[in-house]
Amino acid sequence: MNTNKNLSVVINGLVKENPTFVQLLGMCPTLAVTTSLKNGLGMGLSAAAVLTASNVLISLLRKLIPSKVRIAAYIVIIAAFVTLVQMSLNAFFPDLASQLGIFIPLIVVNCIILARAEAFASKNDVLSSALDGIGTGLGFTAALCIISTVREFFGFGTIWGISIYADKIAPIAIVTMPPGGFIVLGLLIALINYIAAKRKGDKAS
Amino acid sequence: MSDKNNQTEIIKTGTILFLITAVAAFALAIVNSVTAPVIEGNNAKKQAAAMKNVLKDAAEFSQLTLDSQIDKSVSAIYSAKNAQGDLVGVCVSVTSSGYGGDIDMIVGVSTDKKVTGVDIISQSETAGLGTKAAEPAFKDQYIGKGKIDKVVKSGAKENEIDAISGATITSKAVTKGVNTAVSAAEEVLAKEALK
Repeated sequence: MNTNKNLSVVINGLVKENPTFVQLLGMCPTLAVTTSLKNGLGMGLSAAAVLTASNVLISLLRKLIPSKVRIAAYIVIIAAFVTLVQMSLNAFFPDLASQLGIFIPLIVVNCIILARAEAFASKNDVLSSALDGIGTGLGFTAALCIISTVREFFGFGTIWGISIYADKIAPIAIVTMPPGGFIVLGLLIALINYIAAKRKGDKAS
Repeated sequence: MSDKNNQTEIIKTGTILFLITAVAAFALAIVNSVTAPVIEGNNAKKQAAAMKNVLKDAAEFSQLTLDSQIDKSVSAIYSAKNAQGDLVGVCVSVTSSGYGGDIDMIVGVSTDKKVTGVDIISQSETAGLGTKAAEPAFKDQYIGKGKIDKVVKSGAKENEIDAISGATITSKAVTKGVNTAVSAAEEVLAKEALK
């Protein structure tokens, strides 16, 4: 029963309450970094690492943190983890760090992380909080990978930097620009809603 | 009495918040002491690789002090010597403002005041248009030239540059940066020659 519950926490974050496609949280980094699959994956995994670590720590401290200053305490904890990630990326993955640029420090204000701290980690035990962090983090990563694959394929004609048709047909440059980000995101959400509605309909009939 | 309770609560709350920030600061300090030297090494390596790229004959670089005559957009000048210890030119770090923000670049200038290479270190130009400035097809145009008089649409003559189509502002910005670098190099080289 317990394993089932744990698994459902992960699945919940990954699919049912997918932070990007269902809850529409963290739109700013989502639109900004998803111009290539490499960036999307790097951003997603960095945010997932911060989310999991901050969820665990906030859950551990949930009885100690006075409710009056909880938001301040959460922000300090999240900011510390983000800075750790930023320093490690700069030291060990400098290329990725320079690609992601300002969006690494901006993980601090990524509302997914604060939302999970407030809505989940502050009320649940350490294990569930860790699993929630992993589930939501992977959900965010998966969403970024899907968006960035679409944008990279149509906008640059490449996938993971490998040319698919870039040298034969001119790619659609607007897809890599901010308006293209909104268009791709909107279309993907429409597609996901369509599939979800269809599955619901199938079940009902 | 309730006043007293209130006071203890404020102190307790403050202490806990202080402890959390103190622990966070301590953890960051430890990680920083590990990563800071690595980051510095990475940056130095990147800088050296970029300089070597724009001035291929050079083997050794040393940073020169900037005097007040040199344009403010120049952030650093390195003199470059070859393996025999002869001066082969200078590398100039220069910033020019482009279409989407600052363009940081390194320009290599030989002792006869010709550009030996241009490398874009960081830029935020329009993807697919302005970003083409970093491609050899555009930036290698500067090689062998001195100061550029004009950016043209096509058919560049001596001391002219063909603009990237759709990115005239970027092309002009890079050209301005190169020209600033050449002027700075001329001043520095004139001084080095007196030594």
